[in-house]
Amino acid sequence: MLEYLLTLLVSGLVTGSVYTVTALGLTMVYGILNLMNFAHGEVFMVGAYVGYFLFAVFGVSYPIAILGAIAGAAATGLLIEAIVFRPLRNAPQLSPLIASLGVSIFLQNLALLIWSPTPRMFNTPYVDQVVHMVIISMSMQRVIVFVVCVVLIVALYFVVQSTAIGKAMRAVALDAEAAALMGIDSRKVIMATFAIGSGLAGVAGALVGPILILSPFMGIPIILKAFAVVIMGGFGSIQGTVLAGFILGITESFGVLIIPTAFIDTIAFILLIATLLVRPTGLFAERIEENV
Amino acid sequence: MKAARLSGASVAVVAVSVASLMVALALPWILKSDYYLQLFALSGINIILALGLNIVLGFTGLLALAHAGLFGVGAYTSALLVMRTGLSFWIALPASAAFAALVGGLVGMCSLRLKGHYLAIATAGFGIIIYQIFLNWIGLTKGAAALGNIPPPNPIPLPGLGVVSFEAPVAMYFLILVATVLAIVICARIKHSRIGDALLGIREDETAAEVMGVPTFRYKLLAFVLSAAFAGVAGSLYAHYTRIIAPEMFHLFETVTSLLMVVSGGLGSIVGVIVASIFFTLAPELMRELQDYRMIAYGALLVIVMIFLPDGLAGALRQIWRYGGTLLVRREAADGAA
Repeated sequence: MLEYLLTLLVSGLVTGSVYTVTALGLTMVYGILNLMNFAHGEVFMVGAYVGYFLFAVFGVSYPIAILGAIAGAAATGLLIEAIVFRPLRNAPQLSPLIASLGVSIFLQNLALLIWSPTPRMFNTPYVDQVVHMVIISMSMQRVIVFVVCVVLIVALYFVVQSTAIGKAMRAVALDAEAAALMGIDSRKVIMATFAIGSGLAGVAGALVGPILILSPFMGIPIILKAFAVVIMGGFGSIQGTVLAGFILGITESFGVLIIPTAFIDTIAFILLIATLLVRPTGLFAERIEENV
Repeated sequence: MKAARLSGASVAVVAVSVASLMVALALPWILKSDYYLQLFALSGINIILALGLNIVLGFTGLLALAHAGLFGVGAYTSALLVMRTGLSFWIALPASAAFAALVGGLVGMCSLRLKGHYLAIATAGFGIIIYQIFLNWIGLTKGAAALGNIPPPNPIPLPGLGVVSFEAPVAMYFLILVATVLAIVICARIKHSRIGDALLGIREDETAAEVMGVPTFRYKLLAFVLSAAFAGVAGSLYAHYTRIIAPEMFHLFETVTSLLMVVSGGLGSIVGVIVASIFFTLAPELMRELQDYRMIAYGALLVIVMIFLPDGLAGALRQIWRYGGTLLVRREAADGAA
């Protein structure tokens, strides 16, 4: 029994780390542009497919495939920013949100056309390699997912807290006008944010691709959960996002004990709605916003 | 001058409405095949659905993404009431509208503390939960296997026509036409009533509306309930018209089709939404060979409309109208000078 519970906990931590990394990209963009980007899920999907093609078709090593996925995802994110969000910078609040929904549908169906609806298996050698840890065992792939995600979360935290670009990001998020007056080029900051955020989604895609099955619609459940995590975490707060991401992963994992597996995907929204009813500003209220 | 042009415009609106209604009534005799008639019947259902979304998004400025789910609530409620309890369609139709309105109200109660993007995400969450229930409550909905053999509306006696059976596509077309006209009239009445003023006020500036004494929460909730009732009616008609429903038809991303109809028609514009709904129902069917590209085109169009035509068709027409007006005024001025 203890073994089973520990296994659930560890698998919750693994999924939680993936939700967190994907949601961090959304949080960063939200912090700077006040924009919820539906197409972030498709960026995740592109990352998974690029990783798959590099690894399974072109035969490069897994770490290089992951780097390729980062590049592909970052490029996709930058393209979306330049073509769709930049022209809408001064539009009413809902316009970029609706447009991002359009981008999301567009990319899903474009992927369907190019890559066919056939689900693909992204098998790395690590999937079948089992690691034993004291009393539980799990696949090497999951260990890699968890370790890389945690490293990325910590790295991102340092980038945002201590580097020049991180400080510029926080400045723009806090007050874009004042930041511009201080000589910060907000256009560059926004591009950097999209590149980093999309790159994170790309890594997440290439990491969990081997655990999931690749399909053009694989971004949908992820984006919805990432949204839930961002809102639960509270208004562009990085700490809140990390906490909420792991809470969601663990709750889903233990959820199998109480509710039928078919309904596991609704846990995110039940948690979200419960959080909003009790504490509408999210777990960490970074800023008091007009959204509540 | 301005007043004269305005009344000219409203005369034009009345003339166009009467003419369109005549065409709509004559359609079964104009169109050669039942297939085309079916497309217009589906357009009617889509108009009702899009008008419902227009109340929340167009009038009130709230992006609610549970609309396809509420459409499904109407469809499943109606179909199951008729099939399981043997209730008449004529009772199931208002019942499904009422139940969808209730669910819409509950969604509103839970999510209306939020605004903007957060409201959109929370309602999307409800959309997903509703979809998951359709998909997984197999004992009730048959899940992904689809609920088929839904009977057409029960025959009713009508004065002058005898007992009308709805097996025939023409009868179904007229039923949907009546519902669509009613929906349009109700929507127009809402827009030009105190409720409409309050909703438009909330869209323009919620804080100002609140300060002016508009109980904004109550009105936003009302918008949710009304919008859901429209979706419920559309769902009920859809279920008994197509006779088969499946969870996939009510997935979150299906809301995008209604969304496209509303934004390309012009947020808040009833005429624009009607035209766009007919267009987006007919176009993909008439370009069958491009069927595979439909959703790609919808996605791209949504982006293009948001960037280049943020006020949709109605906004574009208004601009042309105004431009034409200035040309006219200029010419008059030139004539006067000469």
